[in-house]
Amino acid sequence: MASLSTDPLEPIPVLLLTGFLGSGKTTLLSDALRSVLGPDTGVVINEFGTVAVDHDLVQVGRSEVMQTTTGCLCCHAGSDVEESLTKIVEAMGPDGERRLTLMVVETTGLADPAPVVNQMRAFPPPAEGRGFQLAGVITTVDAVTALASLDGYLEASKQIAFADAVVLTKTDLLSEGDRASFDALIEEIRALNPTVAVHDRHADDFDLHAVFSPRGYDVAARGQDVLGWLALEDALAPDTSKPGHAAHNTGDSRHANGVQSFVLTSDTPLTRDGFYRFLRTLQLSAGPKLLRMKGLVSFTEEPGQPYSVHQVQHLLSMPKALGEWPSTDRRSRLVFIVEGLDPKPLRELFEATVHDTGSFFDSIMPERFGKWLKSGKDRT
Amino acid sequence: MTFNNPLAPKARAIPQKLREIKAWVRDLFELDDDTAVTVSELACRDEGCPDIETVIGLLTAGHPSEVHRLHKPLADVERDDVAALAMVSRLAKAADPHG
Repeated sequence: MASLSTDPLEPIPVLLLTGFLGSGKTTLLSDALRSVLGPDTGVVINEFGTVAVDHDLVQVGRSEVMQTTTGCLCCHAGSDVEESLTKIVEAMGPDGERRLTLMVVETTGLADPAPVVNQMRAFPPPAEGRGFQLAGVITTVDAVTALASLDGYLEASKQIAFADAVVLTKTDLLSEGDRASFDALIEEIRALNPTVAVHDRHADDFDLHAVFSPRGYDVAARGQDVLGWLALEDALAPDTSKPGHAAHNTGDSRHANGVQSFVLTSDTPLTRDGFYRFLRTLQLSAGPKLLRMKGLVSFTEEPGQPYSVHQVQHLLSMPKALGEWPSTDRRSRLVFIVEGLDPKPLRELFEATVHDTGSFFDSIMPERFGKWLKSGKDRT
Repeated sequence: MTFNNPLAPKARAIPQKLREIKAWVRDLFELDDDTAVTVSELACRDEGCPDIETVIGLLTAGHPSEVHRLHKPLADVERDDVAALAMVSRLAKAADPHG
């Protein structure tokens, strides 16, 4: 377990865990909670969209784990982070504040870290109690898809630039043919953040304890870009003295136009064959516009056995059996985060899966489905 | 001879574009080394605002931040856009040197 300060006079250290969609934030956090973090670690999980599933995917059975309101911390001005942290302290009971050794805040994959870090740097000294202090920024970077994410989304660059610890994930999926693109990724990380510590999640000497140990987070050490982005956030802060401009740039729309989230659910288990055809069709047709899909499903062949499923752009992970349902909600549910894709065809495809209408799949070719998915027009 | 497919999707290559814009700003605004340039991209749904805008900050210690907005995504910003901004900025300063 991490040897952390429990001095009741010191602020509670807070680690910010960020990283682009599907880069393995929740998996890394789950591993840390199971192996190196003590039971008195509070967790805030923030999710993009209207339905949260990440808190169900953190398999540690901890009552302290807390889900924030859905949406994105970087899109809400004010003290959302501090409010969430304070709620954890309150949920841990009368001596919770004294016992807490660490807080971890996991952002959405689309979070711009600049406003979140600005909030966390500005934690005011509390009138009473310990208060909170930013103690490090961990960024997960998917070794397979990160270059594409960096090419298309400024948030991915900022997440790396703000980190004092980068954790490369999915390096076990790289082949010899990926060497050149992996070298290019390392070069880009170094260009964005020359002094960051880079850890390989699958290296023999990977030290999860070190990654999740609180340290002093030094903004100045992150370089001119980070200082500039933080200063720009301050300059763009809402000027409440001007009527009608109080919400400018602080609403729920910081992210690129066209990024949206929706959820597909089924009250009944799915056939395994039908669901695999659903995944296959999705993989062949959606392309990089499918930023992220994640969720929990159950199959008619194994009632009562939940599976977690993940897809990041073209990279599909096969369903993985979980020990038990993480909550009383036994519905199969998939959360999608897409850019410029029409949800309607996906809903129809999922309905066909739920009702096992194989004829639907027989009637479509993945490439035709892909065109339909991207056009938003009726399938004819 | 290499073949460039005109139908191939255009890479947005954000990090490279970010560095280009900063270099254009430094050059066209004729900034000295005391001024830091920062570039970001924000979306806004306020009435009258574009969906996505590129925000350029000129930050000099001891002076108010100078913020310029381009009403287009960062990936679409060209050198001419920055040149127009720089010209407007110079004209505004000439008209009101104490502003």
